[in-house]
Amino acid sequence: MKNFRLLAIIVLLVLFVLVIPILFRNDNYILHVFIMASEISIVALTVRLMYITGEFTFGQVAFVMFGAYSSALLATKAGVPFWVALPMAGILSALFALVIGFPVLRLKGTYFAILTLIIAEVMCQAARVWDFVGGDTGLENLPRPDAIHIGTFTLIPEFTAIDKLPYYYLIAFLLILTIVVFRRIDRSPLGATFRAIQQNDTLAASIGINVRWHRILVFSISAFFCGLVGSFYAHYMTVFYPRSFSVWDSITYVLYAFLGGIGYLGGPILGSFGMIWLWEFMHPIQKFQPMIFAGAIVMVILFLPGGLFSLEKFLPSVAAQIGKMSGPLGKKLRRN
Amino acid sequence: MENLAEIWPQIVMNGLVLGAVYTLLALGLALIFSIMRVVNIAHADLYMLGGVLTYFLFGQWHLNYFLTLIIVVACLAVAGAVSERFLFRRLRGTGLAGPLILSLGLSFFIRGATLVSFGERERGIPSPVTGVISIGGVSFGTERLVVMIVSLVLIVGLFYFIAKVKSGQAMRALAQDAEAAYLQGIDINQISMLAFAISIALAGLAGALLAPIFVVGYAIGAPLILKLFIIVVLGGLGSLPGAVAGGFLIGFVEAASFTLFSGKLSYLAIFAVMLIVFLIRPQGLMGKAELQ
Repeated sequence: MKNFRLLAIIVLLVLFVLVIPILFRNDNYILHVFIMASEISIVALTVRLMYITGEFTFGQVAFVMFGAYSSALLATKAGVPFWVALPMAGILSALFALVIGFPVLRLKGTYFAILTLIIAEVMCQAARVWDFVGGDTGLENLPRPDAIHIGTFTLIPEFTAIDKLPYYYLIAFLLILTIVVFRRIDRSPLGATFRAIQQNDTLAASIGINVRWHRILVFSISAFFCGLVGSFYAHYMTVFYPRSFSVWDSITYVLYAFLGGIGYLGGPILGSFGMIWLWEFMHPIQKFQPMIFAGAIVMVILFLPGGLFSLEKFLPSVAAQIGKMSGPLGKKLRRN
Repeated sequence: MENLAEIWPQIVMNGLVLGAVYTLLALGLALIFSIMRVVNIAHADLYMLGGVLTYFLFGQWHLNYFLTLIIVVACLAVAGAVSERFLFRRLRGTGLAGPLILSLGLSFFIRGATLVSFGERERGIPSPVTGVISIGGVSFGTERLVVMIVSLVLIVGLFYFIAKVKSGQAMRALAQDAEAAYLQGIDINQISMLAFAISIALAGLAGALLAPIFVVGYAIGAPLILKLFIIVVLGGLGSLPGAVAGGFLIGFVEAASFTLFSGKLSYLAIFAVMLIVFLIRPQGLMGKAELQ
């Protein structure tokens, strides 16, 4: 089973970083959908990270927005290059989460969930009337990431409007980075602490865990990755408005995380890619798109409460079927 | 602001109308949250559905307005009972997330279905009640007055139901302690179904009442549900008196800031009020907080 999982991860990784880019090298539409799905996967993963401590948040779009604005303002007003603005956006978002985390994380459960939703809406509305950040029309003509050359060697190629491949690799890198970091957190003592808080925060506090501080920490870590996504979004689209970051986006992140399976690291990714491609496949029947999409949501939550990823438990029997096959692959799988 | 003396009766009137309708909607939301721990994102879309039904029944097919109201209430009560029986009941006791995602799916479904049958355009409905009433030299639209009075009657009726009628008392018992209520012989299934039916029928009725005043469109639920969440959280989650306080507070703030400032700022004013309340009472005006 362990080998099977490793095999699946390798196959997916090869598909993601080699097969898809080569196959759809010139299909900007498909690359664009994959780029958006990767962005959303990262944010959905941060929703899951928050959920590990037992909170669920509808406010992630606020941090994406904060990252987008800080990165865009740094680039346009201070002339900071993208490669500096990207981590800066993450750090600033994390600091912002730290600041608002102190009052907001006094609350938990439904209060916290709805309060984060309202904060996201406040920020969107405030940006619409604040002229320094572009008001309702937003920011435009944002610089694309610059190329980096070391001598004659091109470390990072030119990012242009017509070629989406560099963007694809950049967001793929960010997604893989997020997965690796979150996997480390999951398996570290810190992750165990988070899960202890989820199970019973009073008990966790009684054995000496600083519950509030850990909540703020996880809030900030999740905000950091949202900030990175925001910065990427800003310099990928090169134009955005306050209303690019509506609370309905935030709700969608939670939706994808849960539909994919919030109990699994792969869940939010599966949920994001699955639901986004489902939406795109339904283009020919545009009129009924929202209804079918909604129907899929209801079906998944009713019949697969653990999310799409919970189908994983059927994999051993699928593997057993494959194992009955002859040949070296079958033999290898049979051994495990 | 030299004409403040002239516009304040207008502000009070608009505040009362908005407050009464917000309260009616927020009460439904708070009712099913307190009983079943369901945060119903589809609530505002059911309000929209009430408006759309009114558009077809009254605006297109020219049925009697009161007959329209009765049909809307009946349809939505049945829809509420059915959605509880066949959808929400399956997820009872699974925590906050499942029912929330389910209601989100329903919300998308209702919007999608309305988009298909009703189209993208926002439409108005001719007013069933016209005319202007003058009280103390200040004139009010009769229509708004009627909406306000009907809403107030319904709010009082709901509180009477909860306080005095047996199944209403059962709802309160369930909200306080579901297990103890069950041991007392209260049928959780039946009461939950009834609560859902009432909550959603009220949402639909509010939609039908307001349809002639505002426009009807498939997307009108999206901004409204945020306001309703603010009201319910302001008042204290699941607290019915809190929903009334929050509803009227937000109604008045919105009416005042809409008249005194521009529309954009009126939205921000609501948040300003909310932040002030939260800094002082994080658990809302009348709520028991899940504080740590």
